[in-house]
Amino acid sequence: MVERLSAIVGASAVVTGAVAGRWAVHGRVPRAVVAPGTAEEAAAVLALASEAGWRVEVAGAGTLLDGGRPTEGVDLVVTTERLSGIIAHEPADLVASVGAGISLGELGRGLAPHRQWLPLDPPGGQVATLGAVVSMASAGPLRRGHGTPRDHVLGLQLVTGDGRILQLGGRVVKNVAGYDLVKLVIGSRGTLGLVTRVEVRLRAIPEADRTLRLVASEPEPLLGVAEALRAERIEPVALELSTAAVTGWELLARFQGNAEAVAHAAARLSAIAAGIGGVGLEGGADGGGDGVWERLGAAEVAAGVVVRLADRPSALGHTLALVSALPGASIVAHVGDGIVRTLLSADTVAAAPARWAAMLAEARAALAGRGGTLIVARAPRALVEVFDPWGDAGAALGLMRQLKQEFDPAGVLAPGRFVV
Amino acid sequence: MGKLRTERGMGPGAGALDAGLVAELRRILGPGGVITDPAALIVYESDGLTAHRVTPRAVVLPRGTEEVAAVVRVLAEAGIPFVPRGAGTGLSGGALALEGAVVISLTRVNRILSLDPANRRARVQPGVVNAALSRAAAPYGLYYAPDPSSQSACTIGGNVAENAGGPHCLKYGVTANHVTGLTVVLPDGEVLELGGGGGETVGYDLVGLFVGSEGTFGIATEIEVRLEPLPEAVETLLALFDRVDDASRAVSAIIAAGMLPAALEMIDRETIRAVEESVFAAGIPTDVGAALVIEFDGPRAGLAAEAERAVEICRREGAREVRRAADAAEREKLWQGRKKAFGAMGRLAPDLLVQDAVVPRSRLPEVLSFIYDVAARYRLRISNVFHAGDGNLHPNILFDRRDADEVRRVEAASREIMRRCVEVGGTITGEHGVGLDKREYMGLIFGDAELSSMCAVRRVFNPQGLANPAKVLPVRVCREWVGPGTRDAEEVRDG
Repeated sequence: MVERLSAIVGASAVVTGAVAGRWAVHGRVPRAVVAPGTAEEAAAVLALASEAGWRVEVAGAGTLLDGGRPTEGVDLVVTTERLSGIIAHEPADLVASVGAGISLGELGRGLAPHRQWLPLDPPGGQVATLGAVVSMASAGPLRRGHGTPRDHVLGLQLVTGDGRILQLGGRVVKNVAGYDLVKLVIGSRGTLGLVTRVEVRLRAIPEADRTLRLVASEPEPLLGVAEALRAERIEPVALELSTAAVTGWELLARFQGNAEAVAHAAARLSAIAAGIGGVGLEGGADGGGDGVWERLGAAEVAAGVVVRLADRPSALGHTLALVSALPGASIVAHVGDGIVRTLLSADTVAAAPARWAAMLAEARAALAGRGGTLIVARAPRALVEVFDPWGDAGAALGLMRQLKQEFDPAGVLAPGRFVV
Repeated sequence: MGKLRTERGMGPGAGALDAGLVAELRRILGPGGVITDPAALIVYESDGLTAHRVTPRAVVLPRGTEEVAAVVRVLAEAGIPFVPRGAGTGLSGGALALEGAVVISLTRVNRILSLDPANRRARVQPGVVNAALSRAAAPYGLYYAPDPSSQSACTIGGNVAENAGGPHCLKYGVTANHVTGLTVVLPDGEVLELGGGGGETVGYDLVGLFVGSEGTFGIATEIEVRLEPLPEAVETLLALFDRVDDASRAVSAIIAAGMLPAALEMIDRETIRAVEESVFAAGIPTDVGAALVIEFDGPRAGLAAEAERAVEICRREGAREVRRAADAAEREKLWQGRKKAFGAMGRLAPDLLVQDAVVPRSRLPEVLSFIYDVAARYRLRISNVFHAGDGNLHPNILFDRRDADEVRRVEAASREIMRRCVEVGGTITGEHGVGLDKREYMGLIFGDAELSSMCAVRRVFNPQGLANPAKVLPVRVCREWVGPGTRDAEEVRDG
């Protein structure tokens, strides 16, 4: 195996043994890890994998490998580590062509001198690669004002499971030529191919960027503040309710735009908070808010178990009530999107997986009855062996399986990890 | 643009539907739900691209999901292709009934099923007119953001099929950014729910894949959409420039200044002249090189300052005049030149070819120059109306399809323009779709590997090839349609 891979990418780009432990998936260390230097090398590797019937996981920095159904074993991890860098950036067009292996942090640093940015802030995004974020459709608090990966990606280069290189989408902000295979790939969790290159739409860095932090001992007053903002049509670009990094509850609100608009919004929020009993305003700060967003993201990254409960925004109170029944859970909620991330310790859950499976099943059923979902984004093997992390994919599962067949005919990519 | 052709009658292998089949359809839809009278069918022979005409074998008018599914099942069992049709305002020939297809009109499937202001969502049937949805949402302080120019007539179902855009998609995104769920009737009659509800997507984003599939994957009979809050304030400007290049530079400068207007549209001298000569005259001097419509919206705080910065930029780039709307009535007035452009063209020549290429914004000035050069070389009247903010061009070529020589020049000119747009890094269609009209250009932007994948994806949804046949993909790439009854005639073969 190693010889055949080395022949394609060079011996220095193939890793085996203990060093490959860094790329373990649910505790299973891959037989080899390979870092192709070009899309063509990646294609040759995957063609070989398909021919040999290896079980393959694609990865960027390897931070998002856990999650999904447990794997029985991984033969090969293919990483985009060497497919990095900003390939082209047209500031006048607000478009960049980027190697998928670049981390969001590095991308941001490369764009900042032009006063431009990619407004995506998934947890762990400083380290996670753009390719992985796109494959997982990961998003963070900025989804409220700026959207999720499908709203930013104009095109991508995909190496299929059997080693074809496909240029999907384009490089311009409006494009309806042919079928939108880009949207199919986004969120496909590495089951359709390896994303090697991404064309992204950028935004100008806003003139003003201000975060305010409100605290309370109960969530209700903070939800009241959120409702008041909505009624006044004040739209923060991020609005998170959390217990993860504090005692009690905090509401983080981020405003972006021209200086006058942001100052006005911040003033209105302060006034609203002052008018609602039980809410303390911890002051405002410019830019990223003195690390409050980093702190929030870090809490989500550090948690051994992350469960995502999602329902309509108007049902947020009901969703929070479901979470409150889970002992020891911290919460980070996208207010306005209705998505609550429940953070738990891996030890707590691994100590009683059957009991946790029963509790989560009950919560999932309660949500499903209302059209919501419960997804286990990350958990120790012990839990996902007894509880399906994804839930019901619906009647369209058959179509999804056929679509996967087209892009990965040999079924080598992430077998058994996703719904398909 | 595909070869222009005018033909009456139906394609080969077609002919009137079997009487038993018609009776079955009438039984399902009621007698008024099936049109077979040739005189009545003529209304359905084209969409907004009137140079392409094919009379359908029949037109059926179901009234809801169950009737759509029943009709599709009956047709599928008989092996008869179908074409879903909304208002017929499309500009790519997507609603053309090729291959002996039956048109399934969705105009009677037109109710707003629910409006959920607390969650900023609506669920609508495909026949709901785009502007009607926004009107229904307005009392709740909400609206539906994608606003194609035809919005007072076009339907949400059609918007979904084409992934329609509009002037305000620069800031708010296109249809695909606003559709959260679908009920789809597959080409075998199966009814499937995709997305929808309040949860996250489990599995692949099939909603995202379906939007823009141009009726070739099935028919959406319910559409869940995201609504936006009506902006607190709007600022609208009309900037007049002596030279097109000055206007183009102003566009770039506004974007470079970090501003994101809600809309940024350009109309050129030819367009302005057409408008001013018509009943839609908007009071724009006809000696300007180009005019920009610039609109900002959002919270009132800081909006006026934003508009003033844009005015300043326009003046700096040489604008001879900048008009600013003081109220809603004036806002309508400033938009008039842009909104009435197509209507005004209609009186200048019997036929109009509208292209829909997108180029990187930075290449707009050179592409515009090229288009004017092409117009001169081919002795054609070409005017340009477009979404300058996102590089989506609409060169409009006036002609008379009865003049064979002019038709040849129009085809050659449009081919040259399309090639240049692709050469500078653009794409062949930004919002109108490929349909029939641009099939031959798919090879300019996609290789065989990509086209083959698209065929395979379509086969997953549409294995018999009955849903809107001969659209989007070049016939030579998708082998499953080569066979008896398939037209491989001169007119539909592509390059």
